Amino acid sequence: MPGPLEGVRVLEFTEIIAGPVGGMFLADFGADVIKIEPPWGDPWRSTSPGQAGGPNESRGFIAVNRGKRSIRVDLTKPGGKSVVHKLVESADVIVLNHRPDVPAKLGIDYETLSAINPKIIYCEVTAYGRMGPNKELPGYDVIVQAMTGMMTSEGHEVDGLPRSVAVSPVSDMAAGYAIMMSVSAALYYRERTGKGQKIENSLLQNSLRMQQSSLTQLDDYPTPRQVWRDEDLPVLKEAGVGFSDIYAAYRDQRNNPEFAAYYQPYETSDWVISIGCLSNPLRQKMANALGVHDIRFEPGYDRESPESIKFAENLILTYRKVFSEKTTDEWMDILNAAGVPCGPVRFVEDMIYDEQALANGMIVETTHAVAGNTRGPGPLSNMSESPLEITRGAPAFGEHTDEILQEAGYSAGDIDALKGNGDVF
Amino acid sequence: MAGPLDGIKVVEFSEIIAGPVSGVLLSDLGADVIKVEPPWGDPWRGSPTRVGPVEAKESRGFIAVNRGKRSIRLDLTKPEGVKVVHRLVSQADVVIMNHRPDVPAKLGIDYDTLSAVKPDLVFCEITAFGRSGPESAKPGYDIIMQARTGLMATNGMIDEGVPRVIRGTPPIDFAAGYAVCQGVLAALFHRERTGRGQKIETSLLSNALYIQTLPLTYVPSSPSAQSRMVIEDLPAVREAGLPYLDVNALYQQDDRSPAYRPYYRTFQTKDWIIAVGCLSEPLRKKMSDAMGLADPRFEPGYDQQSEEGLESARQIVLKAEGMFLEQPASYWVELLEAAGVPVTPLKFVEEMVFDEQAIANGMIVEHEHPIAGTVRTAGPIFKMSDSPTAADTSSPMLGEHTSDVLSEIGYSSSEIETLIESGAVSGVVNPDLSDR
Repeated sequence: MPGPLEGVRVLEFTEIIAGPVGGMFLADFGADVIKIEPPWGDPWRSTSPGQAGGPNESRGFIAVNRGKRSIRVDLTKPGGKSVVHKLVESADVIVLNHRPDVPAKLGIDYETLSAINPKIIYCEVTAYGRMGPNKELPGYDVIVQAMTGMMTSEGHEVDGLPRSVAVSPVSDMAAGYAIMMSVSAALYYRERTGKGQKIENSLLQNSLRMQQSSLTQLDDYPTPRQVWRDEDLPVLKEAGVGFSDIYAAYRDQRNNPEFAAYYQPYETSDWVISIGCLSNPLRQKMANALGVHDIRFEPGYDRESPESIKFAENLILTYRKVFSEKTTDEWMDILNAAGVPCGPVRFVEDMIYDEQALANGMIVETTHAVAGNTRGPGPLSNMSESPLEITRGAPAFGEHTDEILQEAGYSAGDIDALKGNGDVF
Repeated sequence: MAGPLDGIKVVEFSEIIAGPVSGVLLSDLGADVIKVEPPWGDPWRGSPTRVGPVEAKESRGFIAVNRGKRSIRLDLTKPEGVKVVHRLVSQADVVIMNHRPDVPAKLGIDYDTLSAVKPDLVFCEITAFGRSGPESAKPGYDIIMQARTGLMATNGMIDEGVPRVIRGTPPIDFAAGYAVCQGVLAALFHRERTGRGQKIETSLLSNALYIQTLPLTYVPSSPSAQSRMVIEDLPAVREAGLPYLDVNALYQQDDRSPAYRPYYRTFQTKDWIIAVGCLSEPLRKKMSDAMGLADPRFEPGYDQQSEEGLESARQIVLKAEGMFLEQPASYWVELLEAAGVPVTPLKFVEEMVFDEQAIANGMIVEHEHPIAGTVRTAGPIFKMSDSPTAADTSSPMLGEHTSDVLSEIGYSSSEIETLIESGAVSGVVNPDLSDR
């Protein structure tokens, strides 16, 4: 059985991470994704660390371009432009992540492409949205993390600087998810109405959305940090207080730690284990399993009294002591038996051979023409009627130029002529 | 114009964050999302930062991830409650679920039961570890998956001897919420073309892996230094019983791509922090030129991985750090923006609800909540020209829409009263609060 987007053709004009991740999702769901690359290729082929077999095949590129085909076209040449316009005729979806002024210059803006194919679904990703003072500016994940407060919420300071979420470019990844989602919604809508449309995604919006819990403001019930923002931050900035001191003041504005002891990692006698109890029944299970009496679960106990806050602070120290007395494996057995969510700390590189991930098809192997065997994340979901299968690896540089042109109706002679002109490569 | 999911009815059985996030996304797209809550409500209603009287069960955390839905309060342990749910599902299109794997069948809301009631149902469930494998029955939350899949260790921050949880966002919960919405949309498209519904399974684990595709992806012909360390050295290191901190030091010591360092990071300026983000060679060159860094590595044929290349990377970093200190953030932002270099001053998330750029794009929305008052939060994640997304209402009070939903699916007022008396369903805790 084919995936749910079987028969849907996507043309992707994207680079680096956000746009490519969006295209990779669409490929996971069964779409035919054609990555249209400039003659020099997506810069991520060469600038991401870890060259795998050749100068244009970085590990980073391979990680976010699985399942696509690649064609190299020079859009600044009329011949290259006409090739792309011909591909648009039979395409369903366009995905772009250029700066806002670029698509019109290259003849791949919505107006031009929807004139060629009126039912086209055109999905673009900008850094900051199409309106507002920053609309023309370029932006990447690290910028958006800094400008939306994601970085300062982390609370780390290293050598006087806030530290970003370094492990995953979270706004890029979220924008990639959003591309897939918005395109699917538009395909569904087109199926019902016959109409295509333009979709706008941005890194900024996704970064805000990922922070929905800390971002949300109830004007009548502000958080300590929201009060601090209104009352103290302007004064501190006015006085020219430096970042380090302001950041320390920000971090001091905390909510009652209340149940923090039930949602954090602990050092055991041999490693680290993480506990995640967000509801009171789970917290009680954990307290019981550790043989600790949490007085706050007694009926009628006032959890907002000063005594309760003191108790919460001391409880973390108690749990640290208790956890240090057994190994991680011993705690895993005890907590699993008690139904308490827990897990050992591991490295991401461990996951390639992880039994649980493999049992669920969450790690897949593909072949890359240059880099060879590649293992990466499998599809996000299992679908019973339209299963997702990952069969194709990332495309080598320009790997499918001939194949795609032939499918679009170009003869071998046409293709040679286009190549001779430097329109395609 | 209505959103693309106008007319689609979603029944949500979910709690805490991942499931609720997916319901909000579907609601942004125009679906009618009905949150079925147990009599005591989604436990996240009791999250830190409670709002209003205790019995109203409202919290900022809950409000943040449940806007745009309606709430029906219903006891699934009572046969009448299950009947109501089956009638509700028979008139719905989509069910989303984030319970532990054994719970849906116990409550009579598993796929087999519900698809018998509604054959073309799109049913999407989120589990922690997936439906197969040795850990499939275990519970799990974002923090467990952060630890379990390497997210925490790669982030590499240590507090009191243990790695620190990523807390700017629960990234795996959000990713799983996004994934549910993806799966449901793809399945609706499939249903529109084939007439068939289906079951979709996603998990915190699969999403945790996907968002780490960059460090996770393993190319045996050219492994990263970390892959080599974990695969070749870690077993022996573990065997020897080294504590976490020592292993972490080994893991983190590799110097990843020094070429990046001055071009994709934060800097201290004279008065504040800025971030620059140049991931392509042309952008890095623009930054080097605009600041006069004179980075020799852009010359053709220069070997960035040579000893000399690494040393000059270190020198350029020091030079950039020194230069940034000499002028205020506003100076650097203006200079670099003019040169086309991605740059921003650092902000706090609390500043974003009043951010001009976000507001200009409709990215911040404002609602009135009957108990919490004015709420400002993040709007839809994308705009659609022909079927616009919208976020018009705040989160529901517990049981706020019980009677409305029941009468829509055909219960008479006297039947509703009987159900309420039996305790199978209930309305809001304090009826005085239900005017909206």
